[in-house]
Amino acid sequence: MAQGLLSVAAMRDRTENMPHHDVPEAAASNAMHGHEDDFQGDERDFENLIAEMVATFVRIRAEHIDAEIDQWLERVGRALDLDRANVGEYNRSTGIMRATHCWAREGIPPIPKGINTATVLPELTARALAEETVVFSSRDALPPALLQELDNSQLAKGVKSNVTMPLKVGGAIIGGVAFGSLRRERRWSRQTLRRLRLVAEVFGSALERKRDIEEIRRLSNELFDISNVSKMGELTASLAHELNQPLGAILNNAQAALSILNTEAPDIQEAREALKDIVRDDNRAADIINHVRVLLHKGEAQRCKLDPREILLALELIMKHDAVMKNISFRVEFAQPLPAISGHKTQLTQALINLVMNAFDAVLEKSEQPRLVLVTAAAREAGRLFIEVRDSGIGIDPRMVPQLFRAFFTTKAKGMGMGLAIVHSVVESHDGEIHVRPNPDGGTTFEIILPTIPHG
Amino acid sequence: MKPERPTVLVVDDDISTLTALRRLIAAAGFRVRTFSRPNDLLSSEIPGGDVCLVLDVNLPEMNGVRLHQLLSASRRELPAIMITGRNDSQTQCLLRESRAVAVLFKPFAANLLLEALANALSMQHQRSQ
Repeated sequence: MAQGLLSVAAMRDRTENMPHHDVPEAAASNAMHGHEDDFQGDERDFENLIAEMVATFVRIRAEHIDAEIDQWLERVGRALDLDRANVGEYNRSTGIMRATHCWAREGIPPIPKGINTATVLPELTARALAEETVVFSSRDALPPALLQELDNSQLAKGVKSNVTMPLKVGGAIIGGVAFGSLRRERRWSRQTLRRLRLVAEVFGSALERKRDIEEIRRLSNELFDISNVSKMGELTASLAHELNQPLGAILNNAQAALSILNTEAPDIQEAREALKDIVRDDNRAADIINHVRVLLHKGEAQRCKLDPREILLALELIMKHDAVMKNISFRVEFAQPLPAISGHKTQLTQALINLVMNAFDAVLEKSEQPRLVLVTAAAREAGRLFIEVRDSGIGIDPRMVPQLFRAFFTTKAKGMGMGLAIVHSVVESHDGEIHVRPNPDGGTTFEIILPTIPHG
Repeated sequence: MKPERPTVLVVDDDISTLTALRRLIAAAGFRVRTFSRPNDLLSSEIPGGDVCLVLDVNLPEMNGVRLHQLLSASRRELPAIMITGRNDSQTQCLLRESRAVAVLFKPFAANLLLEALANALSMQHQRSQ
């Protein structure tokens, strides 16, 4: 007896938060009609596989979620002797579900990544979006609409048995998952369906986590831009001043050289020195222009290999004048050379600028001297670069430390509370760490630790 | 008897600017002494005769306006030309308190500085007579 189509509309809303909830009667009875085990292997092995999968997804970082889903689709597919397993992600704003993770056994045509699932399987897509689980063991019992849909599609023509399930998180559909058998008809036991439901839930929450993190990154980039607009104004003014120095020196040297050469017995050596200085100052001016570019640049899309000294020298140049004007002793010190890191130059420079600006504020709030801000960098441990921003300022109330990196947390009257949250997100996106601690002699040290690129 | 050449005392923390000003002012026939920090000038002896100051406004330790005030109070009244690369409100406030005979914004042409020096020294000369 061929198994019929099982449209498990009854599963809606009931199983979402109950991964171990028994599938409804219809599915159960369907499974009972089956006379052969649909599972090609040890039940316990599959149970272990699912347990391993759940443990993996609890642990992994957001950027590895896609790769893990790819891998687990295949492992689940092979364990159940299936031929294809696919995940589609639904975009709420466009209303389109696209195949994003596709596994197919060797010799089976895969579902192309990026395809709009509604163009291939409109009915099945619509049902998944309506939160319906659709299970069939044989095409015989398919309603005409679905049968026709499968026959119409080159990709779906060969499907003999299939399960589609919605991916639902917190009451919203975020996609769908499909498990298909093309080489043979197969039955879906109640046990198997329950496990696939669990797989769908794990994938669903992982994808939701990935989306959340992408959204947070996008928002923090936006806030980063906003909070930097006013700071950038200050900093470009300061850099304009910085540019006036070499320009002024160039002009003075050029006119001095002219005066020298116009005398009766010109001091050629002195004129030559003046010309050398002009060349040097011209390079200095060009460097400053490059730093302004770095500041105004919105940020590279790609990480690249960086010499940390570039960042530290840019930081020093950008902040130097602010320090002079505020009568702060500001130094940037590092051992030469430093190991290379991988990252976004703009983001890292801006993160350090934020820390140094905070340090300046902290030392200015203290009435007595000295006002010291020291930035140091060293590879104190193999594979890790330590950058410290140390100030002699008012210090941080230890009770505030846990909240320090939260957005909109501020102790300053005029602050927006974005600075440290941004620094934190930049450091985190570089797989780094940030720590804060009080100095034994007063003030605060912020420490950023970044992974370095191994030699060779 | 030929009068002593006037001395110009220059303070700027930008070494490149300092060297260029030394060359320029020396080429115009003045004696020049340069200092990269205000305290270096404060702790050195002020030469006799005609002396003019060329002071950067934005300096470490103290700003150029303050340095001029301190020198005037502790040594003698000297004419000063302020030079600066900034034209922000903070610098403008400072300059308003200043008794400098001229203010030059970097980059400035040599003749502006030399004219300002000539003016400052002639004023000082008139006063001392």
